[in-house]
Amino acid sequence: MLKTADFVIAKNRALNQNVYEMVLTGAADFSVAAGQFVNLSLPGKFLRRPFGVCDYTADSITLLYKVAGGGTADMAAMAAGTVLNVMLPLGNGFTLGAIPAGTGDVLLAAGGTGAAPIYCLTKTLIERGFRPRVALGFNGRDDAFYLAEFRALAADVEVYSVSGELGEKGFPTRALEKEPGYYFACGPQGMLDAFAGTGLPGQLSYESRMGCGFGVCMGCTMVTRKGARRICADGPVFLAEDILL
Amino acid sequence: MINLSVKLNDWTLKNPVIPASGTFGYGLEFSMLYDLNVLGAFSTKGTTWEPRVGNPLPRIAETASGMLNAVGLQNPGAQAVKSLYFPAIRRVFSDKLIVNVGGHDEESYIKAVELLSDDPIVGAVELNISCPNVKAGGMAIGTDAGLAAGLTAAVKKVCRCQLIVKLSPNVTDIAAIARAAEDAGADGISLINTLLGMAVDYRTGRPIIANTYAGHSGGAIKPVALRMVHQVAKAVKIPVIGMGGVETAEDVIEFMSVGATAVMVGSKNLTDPFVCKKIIERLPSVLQELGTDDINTVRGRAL
Repeated sequence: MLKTADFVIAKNRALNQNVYEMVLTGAADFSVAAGQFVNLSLPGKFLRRPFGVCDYTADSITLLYKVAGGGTADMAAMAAGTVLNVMLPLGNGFTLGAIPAGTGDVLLAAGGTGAAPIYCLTKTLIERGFRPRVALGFNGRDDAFYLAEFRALAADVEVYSVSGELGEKGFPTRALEKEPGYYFACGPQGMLDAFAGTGLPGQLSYESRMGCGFGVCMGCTMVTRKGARRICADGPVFLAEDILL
Repeated sequence: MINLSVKLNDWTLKNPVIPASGTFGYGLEFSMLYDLNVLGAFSTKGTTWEPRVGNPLPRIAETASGMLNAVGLQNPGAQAVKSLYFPAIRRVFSDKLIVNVGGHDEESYIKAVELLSDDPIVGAVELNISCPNVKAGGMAIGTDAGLAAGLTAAVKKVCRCQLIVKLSPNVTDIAAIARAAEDAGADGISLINTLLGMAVDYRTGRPIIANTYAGHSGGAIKPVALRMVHQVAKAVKIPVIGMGGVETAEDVIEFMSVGATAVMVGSKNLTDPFVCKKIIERLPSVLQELGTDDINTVRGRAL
């Protein structure tokens, strides 16, 4: 059930020069799942800002964000104790039931802050007995983050960087060189296009500028094989087979 | 007992608060958040005869105290709205609604109005001659008094309920367009639609919105909206529905003070989905503060 509620910033720390982790605590009567997102109201900004859930407990949510404009720059300067109004839960999460029974090799691929929903999914899948392979992509060493957090989940973590100074050189699409039985991907448009272009079964999580986040403004529509779909309310996760390239 | 009810000609609304077209979908998402029956009415997403997928992304941008949108009348088409959405709305909303109708030429407007205005759930058609985000129809009609009058008269012949004409603020003389619509048979005027605007990314030097230009809405446009509602209310005898940056019960009273009979709430629904319910709950105490027990007494105080 969608709700708006005031949360308090419990932690807001820089992971590198541009990417931050924010932990918000609040009332415990909410539910989120891997792949869902929240919409934050920021002081002085008209529109809310959508962020994929990276982690959650009974009374907290963790978000990762990259400073990309005025809103996220404001967030980076916010002190612990600041109250933010949060709309949640939004969107449909990853559909774990779509993984075919007996699939051994599940690949979870993230580019940049696409790592947030992929972290949540990694945790969820491991809790359910899967042993996923994780592929993380960054531009270079300076903008990498969350490597230790992913490795602490005991997942099989591959790291790729465009510059080649961290892990393997290239994009996380290189993880497809060993063809997975099923995949989940979240990252820049080019990365999602590359994954969808393989024709392999999987799910992709998209992002967009949004007006509302709950399906009424038609501000984030993409055309799929099933017709026009709202990234916020029909997504943000879509089946690879429905993607039009 | 405080009276919040207002009359749009022979249609009595339990209060003047109406979620504006394009910010409320077809009401179904909001019906899961609160009981829609607290509303005076609501205006649907702009509906066209043919289904439309709308414009490329990005369609949305933040502005100072507001936002830009260039959705482009994405909707499932009039037939789907009548056969699928109206029955679903009926299950969650027992009053009549306003159906907002767009088009790309006279024939497409007429076909949609003929089909939709025939349904008993429709209390009024809101003729959208003011959408800034479509190539044909929309604002091209609403910025020309002759075209606006011609379309209003043509649609009026097939419209089986009240016909409200929604005006564009992107004109030099809004009163002239309002009078043209009234003379052509409009039963009411609603205004303002969004102001044509633009946002640019200083880093790339490129427009942020894929469609380049977009409709500006939110609190930033309220002064323009108040001025234009004031001008139109002085120019016509038919009821006027005011909108543009309405976020509070006080804003509703201000729009009624400049002559509006009812008031639409737009963009704020997107960032606070409960805003209309909050406004309706607060109106009685604002009226009490003003020393009146009838909301109709505040209308036209600034005229």
